[in-house]
Amino acid sequence: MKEMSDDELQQWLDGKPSIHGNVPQIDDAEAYRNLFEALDKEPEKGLSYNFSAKVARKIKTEQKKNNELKLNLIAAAIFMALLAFACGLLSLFKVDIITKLPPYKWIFIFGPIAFIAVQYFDQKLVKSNIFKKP
Amino acid sequence: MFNEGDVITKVLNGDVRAFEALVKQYERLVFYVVHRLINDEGAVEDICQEVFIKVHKSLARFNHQSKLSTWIARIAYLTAINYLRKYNRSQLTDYPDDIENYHFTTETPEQLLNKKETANYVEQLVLQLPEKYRTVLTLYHLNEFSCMEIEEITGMPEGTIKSYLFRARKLLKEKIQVYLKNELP
Repeated sequence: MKEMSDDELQQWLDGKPSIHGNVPQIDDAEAYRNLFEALDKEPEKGLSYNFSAKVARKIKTEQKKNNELKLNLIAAAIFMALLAFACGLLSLFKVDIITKLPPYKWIFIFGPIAFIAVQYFDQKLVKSNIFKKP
Repeated sequence: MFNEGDVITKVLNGDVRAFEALVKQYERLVFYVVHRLINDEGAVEDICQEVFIKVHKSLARFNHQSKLSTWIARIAYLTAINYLRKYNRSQLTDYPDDIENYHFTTETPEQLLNKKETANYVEQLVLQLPEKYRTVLTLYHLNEFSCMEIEEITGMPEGTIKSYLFRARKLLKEKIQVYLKNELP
């Protein structure tokens, strides 16, 4: 009987039968056995014991942030819609809204836009990015 | 007992505790892949977290055509590779033509001291192998995936996976033979 090649030896250690009926060389077989044992051994280090709780907490925080953002956007959209509706009503009754409204009228128009922008960029820019190295 | 189908349904219905159970079930799988690919202890846990957040976000798209473990391992593999591409290109080595003559750099006095156990020694050698060899060895030996499943996870052809496995083991065996000869009285 011939000695096993490395390929055959590895297959034999993987639990597959030797096709040619060859026998393993003791030295090689021992080294491969040691190697397989070492490769199958789990690393000593691991993730922190409360890793799953940390992930769950992070997901809850993200969900909360997303819900807050949605609510704020809906509130801002409703405000804008009401404003547009009021302007529409006034123009329907032929009221010159531009001259009738106080000089700080633009605050009512640009305020909600600024509010939406702040909310949006807060979510996008403040959100931690794990790939950012210190 | 962990019931994959039930847990997925619960997670999709917004049950965060069910997702916590899913994380517990697969955290070791993800850790092995990320730990072997990214040689930066500080980053490993953050990347594992990122993997599970991606899993949570895309679970609705999981089509049950593969095992959930294979699908999660693929996300872990791709996330780790993206990290290496972005920050640690030196760990992303191309396929070397002469892997048989691959040069390990474990022979510093400090590392020689760490050679107390064969497993530690092998771990050090594996961490120095090119990324594709590390991936294949880890997925096959630690995560116990088959070559076909590794193909699904990494996108490498099955023949290439077998070749990487064979070459890496042969190379490590030769190093172990020398190591054992020097260690044994």
